[in-house]
Amino acid sequence: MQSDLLPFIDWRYHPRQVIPPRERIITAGDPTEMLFLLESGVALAPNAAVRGHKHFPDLVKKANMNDITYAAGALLSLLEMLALDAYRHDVLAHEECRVIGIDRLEIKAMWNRENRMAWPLSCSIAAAITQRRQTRFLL
Amino acid sequence: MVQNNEEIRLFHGEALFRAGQMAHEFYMVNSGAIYVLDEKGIIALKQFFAGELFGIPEVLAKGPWANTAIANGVTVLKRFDASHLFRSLDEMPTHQSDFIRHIARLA
Repeated sequence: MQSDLLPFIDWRYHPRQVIPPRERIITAGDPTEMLFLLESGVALAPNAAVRGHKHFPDLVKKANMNDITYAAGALLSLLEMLALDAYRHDVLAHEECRVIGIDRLEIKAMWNRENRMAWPLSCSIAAAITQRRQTRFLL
Repeated sequence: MVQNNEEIRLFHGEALFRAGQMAHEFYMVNSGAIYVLDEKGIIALKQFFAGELFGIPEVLAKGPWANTAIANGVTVLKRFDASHLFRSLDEMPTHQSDFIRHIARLA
């Protein structure tokens, strides 16, 4: 569960959103102000995967190798949220999904209370990876 | 974060590291440029210029370099040993260092 990576967030107190199948959870171009945790269901980011990215095509029969499939417990487009101002790829509900949204600045503030280096370092690593993926994609 | 570092100077075309070597260090370009090449060594997949830092995800992932990097022109870099980064991570709360390592593994 990727949500375990953020143990200081009490997910119980954040509002849930139910997204019907084939609807967008994230639309490319949306500002990365919110981080989404997939609480239940399966979501798909079409054509978002590149070499080296771990994903689980078996979860969804129609998913191709270029899609990223998210199972319950996943943080959606985490790298893009950390590295970019706007999401680069759509994330669609493959089946009915329950998602929890949390404000990016809230996470940052919680992190900074404990150590001020962790957040910028995470963003910098995510930016390096995202930039590299974009370069490979363009090539 | 990282204080102990060493300056290195490369000639034009000299390799900084080769694909498959373990990533024990990360770098900052002081002057010149570093080109990260494709598998055939023909196309520059990525270029790093003065002031740019690179190699942190690979060092954190404790894996090998995926590609070879060479200097374009005479290039001066600062080399940072991974141990300093790991020490900084060790000083963080565990959940934060775990999170950073998780991010790095996505590289």
